[in-house]
Amino acid sequence: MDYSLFIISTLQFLALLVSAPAVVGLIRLLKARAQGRRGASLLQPYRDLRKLWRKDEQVSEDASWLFRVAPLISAASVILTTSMLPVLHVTVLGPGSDMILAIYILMLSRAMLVLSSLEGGSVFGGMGGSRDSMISVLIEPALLLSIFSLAALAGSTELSSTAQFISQGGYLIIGPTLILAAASFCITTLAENARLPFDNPATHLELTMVHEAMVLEYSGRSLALMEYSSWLKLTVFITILVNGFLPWGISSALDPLSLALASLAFIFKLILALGLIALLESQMAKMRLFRLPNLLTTSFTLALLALMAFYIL
Amino acid sequence: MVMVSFLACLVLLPLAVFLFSLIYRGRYVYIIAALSASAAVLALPAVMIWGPGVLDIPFGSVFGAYSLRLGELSAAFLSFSALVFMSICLHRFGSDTDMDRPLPVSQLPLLMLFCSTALMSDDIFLLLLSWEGLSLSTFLLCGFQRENGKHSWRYFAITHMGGLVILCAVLFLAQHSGSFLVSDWNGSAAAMGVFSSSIIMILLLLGFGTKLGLIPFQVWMPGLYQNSPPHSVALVSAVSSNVAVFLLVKLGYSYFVASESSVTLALVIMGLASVSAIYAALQALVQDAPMRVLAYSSMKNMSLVVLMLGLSMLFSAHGATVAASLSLLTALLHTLYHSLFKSLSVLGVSDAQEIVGSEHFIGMGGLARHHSLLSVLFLIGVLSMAALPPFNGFVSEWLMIQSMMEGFALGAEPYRMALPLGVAVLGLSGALGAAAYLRLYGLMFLGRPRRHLEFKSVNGSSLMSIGVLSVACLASGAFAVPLISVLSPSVTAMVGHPTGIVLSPPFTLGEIDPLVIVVALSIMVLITAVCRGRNKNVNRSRTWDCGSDLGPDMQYSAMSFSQPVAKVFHTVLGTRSGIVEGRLFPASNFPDHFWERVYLPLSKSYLDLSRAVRRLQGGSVQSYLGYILAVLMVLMVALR
Amino acid sequence: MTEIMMNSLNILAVGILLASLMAMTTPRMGQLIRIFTLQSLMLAGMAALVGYQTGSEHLYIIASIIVLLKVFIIPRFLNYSIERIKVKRELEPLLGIPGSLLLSAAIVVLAYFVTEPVISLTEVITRNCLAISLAVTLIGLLLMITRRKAMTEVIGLLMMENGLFLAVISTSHGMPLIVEMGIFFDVLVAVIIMGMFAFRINETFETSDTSILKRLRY
Repeated sequence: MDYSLFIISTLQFLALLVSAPAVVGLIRLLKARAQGRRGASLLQPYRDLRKLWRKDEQVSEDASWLFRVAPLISAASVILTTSMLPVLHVTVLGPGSDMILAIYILMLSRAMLVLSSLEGGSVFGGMGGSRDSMISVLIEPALLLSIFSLAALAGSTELSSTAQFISQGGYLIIGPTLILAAASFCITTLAENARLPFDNPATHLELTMVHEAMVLEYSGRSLALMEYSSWLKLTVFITILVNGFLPWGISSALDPLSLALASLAFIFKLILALGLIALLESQMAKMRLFRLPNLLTTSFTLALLALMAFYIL
Repeated sequence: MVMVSFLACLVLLPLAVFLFSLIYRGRYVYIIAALSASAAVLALPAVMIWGPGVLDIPFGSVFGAYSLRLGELSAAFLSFSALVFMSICLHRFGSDTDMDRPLPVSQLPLLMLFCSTALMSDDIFLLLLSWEGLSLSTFLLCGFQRENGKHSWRYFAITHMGGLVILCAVLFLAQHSGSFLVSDWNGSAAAMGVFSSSIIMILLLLGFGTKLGLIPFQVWMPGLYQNSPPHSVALVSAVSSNVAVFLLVKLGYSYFVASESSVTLALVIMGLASVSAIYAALQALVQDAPMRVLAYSSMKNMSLVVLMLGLSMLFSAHGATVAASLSLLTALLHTLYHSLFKSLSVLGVSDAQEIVGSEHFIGMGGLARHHSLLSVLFLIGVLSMAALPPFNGFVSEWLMIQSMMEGFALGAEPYRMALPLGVAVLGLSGALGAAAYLRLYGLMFLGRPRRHLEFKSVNGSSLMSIGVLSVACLASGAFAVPLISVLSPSVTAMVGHPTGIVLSPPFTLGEIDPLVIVVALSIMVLITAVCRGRNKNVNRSRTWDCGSDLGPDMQYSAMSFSQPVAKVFHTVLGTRSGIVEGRLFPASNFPDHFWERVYLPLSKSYLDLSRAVRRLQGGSVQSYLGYILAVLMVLMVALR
Repeated sequence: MTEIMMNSLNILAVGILLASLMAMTTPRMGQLIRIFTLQSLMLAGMAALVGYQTGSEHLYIIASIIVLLKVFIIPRFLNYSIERIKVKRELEPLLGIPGSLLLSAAIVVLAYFVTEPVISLTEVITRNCLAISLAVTLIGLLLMITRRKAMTEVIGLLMMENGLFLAVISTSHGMPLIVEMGIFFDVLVAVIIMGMFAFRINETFETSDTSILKRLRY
């Protein structure tokens, strides 16, 4: 066992865990700036978490044991997925970095969310759960296909290997397959994480809520866990996007210089992606629920085209 | 020698129990029935210790001696089926309504007997006999004379049609190869030619497809599942699906040698299975009764199994034997896993129905608060069914995706495009299925009770049997790697790999042992739980109700939960909406297209034909004599 | 050097295909015309690149004619017509957006499947684009089938023509110049005539919905 590898992979895992609230805070800040507001501090999500952690918890009279267990499993599965991501260095702490596995573990988190949404016995929860099921039904094929095309390109579903393969493959690897698969994955990232135009993360209007409706009954530490796991999930998806589809800069050596370069590159790409999301969210309106299939089918078609491009060209 | 006596024991024990159950008819008959399977549970360990066994029974039929053979594969199927069978019997022993709806109990050991002989038989006479026996005994167990008679007869008619088709295929194979032993058929396809061997494959698929509920044979499933005794349903969906898949693979691969030209056949099979899987998953999401959801879930899972069989044929047509054996192995593994989680969920639903006294979602909800243990165990079944980690359903679905990813083995063939499409099918049907099963759980166990009810308690032995099954769901997934390494030599041999290599994960793509996932996930949950700590200030309060009282009906209902998906897929589902008489709200229903558009017109045209024929049968002697005269005259002219 | 060329040719080809798919998703006329302009621009770029690669200079001329005709003149004319007829949006398409997208994806798969034997025979560097050009042509046809406004039909036809042109460039590096000039002229005239028809349809029926044309039977 190489200790330095272990330390590096632990450090990058912990760094992702710690920075997840800041990621969301940065999106909010950039979005506010793009809309001409000053916006809350980057640290606001941390303060929110601290506030929730200290609060009492209200549990509905109708809820069962699952209501309090669901946040645990949900958060645990997202954390496990986080441990499977290469961030700066291609080694990972968790059990491999198989993306298919990661998607399935994230689906467990989502399943817990849907189940807990039915717990309160209110109409909002069920509404959120059923809408979320619809969205997940439509993104699942696109998500798997975009991973498949990445795997076709790089010969593996392990994110570590694809990152290494693509970043060392030179600029010629930037072909239609990679671009289309990345585009498809962008759309699924937005849909999976309940961002605009799929869901408005900043509103509690019953006509539009999806994710917020599902966690409406939560409070106190459970809500903190739920919120944290949704933020972490966003971070996970952006990391997959950034390190799977444009992994340039990721290090496979252990010297300090390349690690420093890798962290610079990662932070730059992360901020770029967050800026794009913020820009998109301040430009776009939320789509009507039954217009979403259009966008999700587009994502599926893009992923399919990525594969076709791989096969044809 | 040990194995010979073991095999004899496998046959004689159920037979003895059957004879005993004819005399004794008390409540303990279920325990005795469970006993009849006790030897069969040990089949897999026995084969692993003593090696495969053969038992030739000297006296035989006109087709030659009876012969039984127990290899690794049949032993695994026998063990899993027997375990499921025992839990079902145990559960039945515990459930309260023993006396209300008695099962024809002597059928239970008989079913176990037929199951063992069907899995072990090597000669076709015993095989066909036990297959038909299995169909008959499940039919009798489902009860053909009560209010559900219609659905049982549907099942009877369709599976027996399938049996007939299988009979044709098997007899043709026997005639062609000149042997009545399946093990002698190896490689006889080479002499047969591609066309006829494909025809046989199609016949076999049709024949066993009737039992598996592939499109368009699924019409018997929802009705039978909803209206039959739950324990018979569990037996039908777990044990007889196991046997059907095993026989399909055994007969199919015993002669079928894939060549370049069987690619089309493989693609057609994959296409039909995909359609079937997606249709089933969609239907599962819109059903209004738990048992109907489970019926379509069986259909979906069996379609996925057939999809993997098609994939394996595609690979072996291309000569990619490793990939072919991986997909075949996945199909078999998924069948085994399915029998565990499906019987678990059928039994769980049956308990819930007993507690609530309703067979529809309308009267359910809120069971988890009073029946925590049952709800935990049933959740395991639901999560396995939804293919979520770390349970066994996930392991086999993950292997399915892995086998699809093996498509790189196909090189540059144009039909490799089928594989990403297959992945998309797996994704879509998986997500639809997951939504359907989560909805099933949510509507039954979570939220507020939708009707005021006296909650009955669940019997201990019922809970125990469900507990055994849920532990099996977790363990069989976690220990998939040892199971795979036991099964893989016989699977690779079946595909025709020359050396009979042992498949072991690391496969080319995924390199993670499911056990590691189980451990990692539990560690993470523990850490999170410790981090959250014991929050003392947890208050119970009412759900936020926007200022009005929330009644039992003011929750999301079964139909409202599935409405978004039903709206998106309304062209497939053929949704009919309108205001049903006597109700205030518009409601949607999802008609069974296949029954209305295929079966009813078919039976109507058949009746019309018979009516037309009846006109000839005037009944008077004179007209018959007239026919004879006419035929004679025509013949004389023709044969002049 | 050749590899960069191959890569950019591939990206352009996929871009052309993508433009066709985008056309399937948008109900807005203005956007449709912009997509067509973009597609033609990429086609011109492709012609120029192939010309550079193979050294056949008449492809430059063709590229510049494409730019002139399909990027400037025809889009202008189309914009002018939609302003005169006052059609801003397509009606509810005959097949929904998800359906038509999936159908287009199926067309791409089919095109790949059909051209695969041909592709493996030829040696031309752009041979891979044959499948894409077939797909673009068929998707143009699909656009004409699923939409109802007369102007969309015109754009569908133009996109079909782009697909055919892509096929010509990619397989045989263009036809003799004089033939291509003839084709361009044909296209221009066809667009103008169809524009005229659109006016006429609009004046006679007070709509440019072509499914109304069924009434002419009576």
